[in-house]
Amino acid sequence: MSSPKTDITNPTAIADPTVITRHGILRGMRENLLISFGLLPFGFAFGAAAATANLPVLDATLMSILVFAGSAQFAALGLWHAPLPLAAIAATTLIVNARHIVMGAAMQPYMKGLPRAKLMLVAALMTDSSWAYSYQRIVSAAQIGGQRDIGILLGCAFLQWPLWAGCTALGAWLGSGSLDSRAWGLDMVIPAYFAITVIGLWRGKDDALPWIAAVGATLAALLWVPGNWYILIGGAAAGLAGLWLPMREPENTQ
Amino acid sequence: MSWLADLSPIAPISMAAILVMALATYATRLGGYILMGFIPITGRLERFLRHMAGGVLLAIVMAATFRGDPPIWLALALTVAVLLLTRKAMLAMLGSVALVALLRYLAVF
Repeated sequence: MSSPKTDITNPTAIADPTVITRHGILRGMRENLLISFGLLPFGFAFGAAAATANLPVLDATLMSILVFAGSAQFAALGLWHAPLPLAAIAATTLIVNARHIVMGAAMQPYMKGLPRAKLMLVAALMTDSSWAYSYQRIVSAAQIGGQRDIGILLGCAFLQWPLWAGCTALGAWLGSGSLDSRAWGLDMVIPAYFAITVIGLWRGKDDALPWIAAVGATLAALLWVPGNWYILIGGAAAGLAGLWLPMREPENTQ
Repeated sequence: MSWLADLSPIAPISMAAILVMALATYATRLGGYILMGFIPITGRLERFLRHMAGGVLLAIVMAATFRGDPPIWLALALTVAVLLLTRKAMLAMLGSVALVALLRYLAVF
């Protein structure tokens, strides 16, 4: 136990530096072993979707290794037409992953004392689920004044990363062969994935106005604006509508 | 080994796009840690970013619907219904893919 006076409402008041230990990494792996297998069908689905989007096996696999962010990868597939629109792909990736900025910002006060190189590694392996899992554990540890071991995030990600890349390769390889992906309904994977993700983002009636703004703006853009601008227009409309809502205390969503 | 023929090398433009995505993603992953050193992420900025991400995902669903055919539309409705009723994402995804395959096989449309 460190100081019993640790102020649990103010994470900057926590003492002891955050560490990464082998024990933490192993714990992160052990506690996420079963749930990580939930990634398998999504990795496979991404590979198959990549094949329907004419993304070759090696390209899709390298993307899963280097980018390691499901939503952004699915979003990029929708833009994968020759000539590749690099600017639109970059902008879409930034926006779809903008939530990482918020996640990192929430984690930052609990990373006190962690050397910069290690922090950069933790950030590189931050996925939605590795963050959600370790953020909750780190905050609990800080509250009881225990050791904050962010090795648990690395352990979780060390499982997810090869599973995600391996399943992508398998899905892309099977999907790019003689398989008629349209006949098998594989072009439904992307719309279904995003419909599921969007519904998962619904937090209550405060989301209604941004959603209506996004739907209206996107429809107008699809009808009258050429190119891929509809993505940015829909996103900007929702973001601005979100600002327009009355300010409220953030709710505690676990 | 016939399947090796499928493994065409990565085109330079494709490689560039993947690297751009990797850099953009890492920027967002590291961005929150760096930003907090300068400015606190306030409730307003947090809401703007969160709603903007939701809007982007909605835009992608709408574009897929807009460009899709009747089997895709019906399957989207099924995805939403299954998810809301059962809360099982994988069931919703598999069910919608199966419905599209079935409708195309039967050539109803």
